[in-house]
Amino acid sequence: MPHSSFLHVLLVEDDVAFHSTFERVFARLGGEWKISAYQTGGAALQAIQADGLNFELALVDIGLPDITGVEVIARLRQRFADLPILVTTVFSGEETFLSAIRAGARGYLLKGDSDTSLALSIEQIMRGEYPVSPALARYLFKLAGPQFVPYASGGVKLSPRELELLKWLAMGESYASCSEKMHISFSTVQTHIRNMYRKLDVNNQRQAIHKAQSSGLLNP
Amino acid sequence: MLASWAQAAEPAGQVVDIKQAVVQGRGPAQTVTLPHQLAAKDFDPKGSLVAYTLMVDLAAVPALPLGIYVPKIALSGKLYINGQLHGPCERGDLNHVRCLHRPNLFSASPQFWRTGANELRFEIYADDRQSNGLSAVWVGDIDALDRNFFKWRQWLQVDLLAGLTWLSALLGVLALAVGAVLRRDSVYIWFGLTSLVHAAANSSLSTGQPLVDADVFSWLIFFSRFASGHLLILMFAAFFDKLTPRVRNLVLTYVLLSGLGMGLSDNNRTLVTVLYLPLLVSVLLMPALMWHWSRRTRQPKQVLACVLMGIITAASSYDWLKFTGVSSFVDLYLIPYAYGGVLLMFGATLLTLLALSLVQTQKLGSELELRVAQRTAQLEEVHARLLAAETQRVKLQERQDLMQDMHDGFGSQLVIAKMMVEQSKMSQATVAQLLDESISDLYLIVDALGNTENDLETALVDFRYRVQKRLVNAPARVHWNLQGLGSAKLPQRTVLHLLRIIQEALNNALKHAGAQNIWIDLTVDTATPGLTTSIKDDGSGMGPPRPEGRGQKNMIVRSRLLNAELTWHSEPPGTRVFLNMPLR
Repeated sequence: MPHSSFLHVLLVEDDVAFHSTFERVFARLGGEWKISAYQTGGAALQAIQADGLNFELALVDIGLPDITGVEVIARLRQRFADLPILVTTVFSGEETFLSAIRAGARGYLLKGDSDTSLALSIEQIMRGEYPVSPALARYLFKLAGPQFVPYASGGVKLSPRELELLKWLAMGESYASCSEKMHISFSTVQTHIRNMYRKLDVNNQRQAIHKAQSSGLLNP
Repeated sequence: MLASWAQAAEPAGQVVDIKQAVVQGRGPAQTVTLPHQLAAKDFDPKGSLVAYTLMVDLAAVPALPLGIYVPKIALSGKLYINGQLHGPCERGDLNHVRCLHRPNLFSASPQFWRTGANELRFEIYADDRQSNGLSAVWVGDIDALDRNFFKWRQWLQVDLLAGLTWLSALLGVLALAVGAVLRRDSVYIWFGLTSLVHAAANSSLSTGQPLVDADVFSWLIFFSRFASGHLLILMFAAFFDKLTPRVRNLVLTYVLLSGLGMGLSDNNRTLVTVLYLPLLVSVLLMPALMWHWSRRTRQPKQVLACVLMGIITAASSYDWLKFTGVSSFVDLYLIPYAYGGVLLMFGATLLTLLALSLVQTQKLGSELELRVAQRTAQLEEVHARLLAAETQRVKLQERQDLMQDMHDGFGSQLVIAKMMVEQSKMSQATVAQLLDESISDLYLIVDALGNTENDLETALVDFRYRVQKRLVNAPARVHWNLQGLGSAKLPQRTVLHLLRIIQEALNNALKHAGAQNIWIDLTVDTATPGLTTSIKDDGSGMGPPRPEGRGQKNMIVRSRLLNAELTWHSEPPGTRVFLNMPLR
């Protein structure tokens, strides 16, 4: 829920050419957007220290000149627990993308896509529809498989329904056809995916453990 | 009073030996000195009785039974005291029983005796199968006789020999079992046979009442003694690995024929003596021969065998002299002891050697295991090195392939775009389109090379996802049919070429033909095996490829690289591109 009349976007991107690309894309989307753009991770992290600051969306380039995008995402996630953070990249390698997700990202934008395609992706994410590519679904499926010990070695414990959903997504099915095949609503598919992202998010886990410890749940 | 007198006259432990007797055989009676061996004229060769009469004076009738100790009675005999039958040396008819191989201690109760002269009469049964006669006779306190004479001779002549015989027979059975397991003509078999035949020969020493007819029994003893001597020679020869089949067969045949001859001649002494001659020579020569055989190695086991054979030779020579009549009638033959002892030691040696070879085998086994482990480690190391080298080579190849792919794909597109921009030959829209194609090609490389499983279906799924995203706002719809691909595995570069062909066909349909619907079908035919790809659109129709079209040219080049057949078919409305690719 926006706290002010405009929607505040944090853009961390070293190439100014993309600054204008995103300005065009947000202009297409309609509504009032305010873009706070930074060319280095350091500058962005310094800026978010300010009190009373709030964002509706963060776009973080994975390859920054000073620190890695993953590090920026992790710090952002610590500061803003529910902020949708997207990785922007020319193309995604599984490992890099997964580490971004574990740091707290909720999806990625391919910078090479057309303005229309980018605008559509941002719209979906603002609606709470996070994308899962077949490659990522395969990777998550492997990660949640029996050869990984949940949590202990970075494994993720997913529910049977979530695993089933991942299986369909890995086969290239769209969310719509997944909801059809699994006899669940489209919004349930979305919920499953949001839950999966949350389970993957190490920062959220850390916060949860911290919360549990401070409330005495984990102490004997 | 009588008792005390008798005790005084025959104090405990006192014995007298009687060395004179009157012999009454077939000839006239004669006085002889004991021990006495009967001459052939004294008895019937087929067997008859000969009487020895001895006199002993007693001061009084003893209060307790008196002992009469006779070291040897051959072949058998009965004792009469003062005309009264005391008993035989062995129960049964005298012509059936055998007493010659063990001492006798008779216990005669006081009722047999009288004060003054007492007559002891031995009725001896004699035949021509062995030496016959009577040893010296001792009369006196039975305990003293037992303690000082009988016990020792009994032990030496019966117990010790029986023990040796049984032990070597037992070892022989074990050796036969070992030989049977080893399944070859080994020293174990010869030792086993020798021991068992020797035990049969020695059965005469402990058998007082043979189960078979005396003639048969006699032949059995003669033959088994004869055979065991020859087997012993074969055994030692086998031990030195010098026993050839020819020698073995010759000796065995000789032994069997001799046995037959002995039986037919009713154990004729002259014949037996003649038949023994080769063995006698062999026994005399064997120690020297064995010493010669062991000259190269002088292994302890071989030296021991030489010593054992030497013992046999010495004992045989000694006994042979005795057998010819030079030695005394009552002396013990050495050969049964030598033979039993030697067999026992030889058996023990064989057992020790067997145990040593077991230990050696175990040692070799563990050594072998160790060497196998070392070799395995070496091989693993070599394998790891080869694997590393191969991995390195594959990596290099992959890098080269990747560079080639980039050059063929977006690399050349970028060069063309740059050139056209420099020469201002191109509209902004065309440049954007060319760059867009370059980016798409880059994504294709990512899809194809990022698919580490080399799984065709996975690569196509990623490709479809990418295309769907790109076409999200496009008016055209793409209908995919990826069914039936199974788990077909294709090399990454093959997949890349295939995706590039599909992408090119897709671009043509979308951009040039303005299609509304595009149907992409991929089918694996496992029988051929082959992969057929069909891209059909409902656009304006392109017809066959134009040679100047860069896209089509690339498709043809890539289909050639895939060794596939690429065809265009006009199927109004639209065009179908058909790719038929063999798998493997």
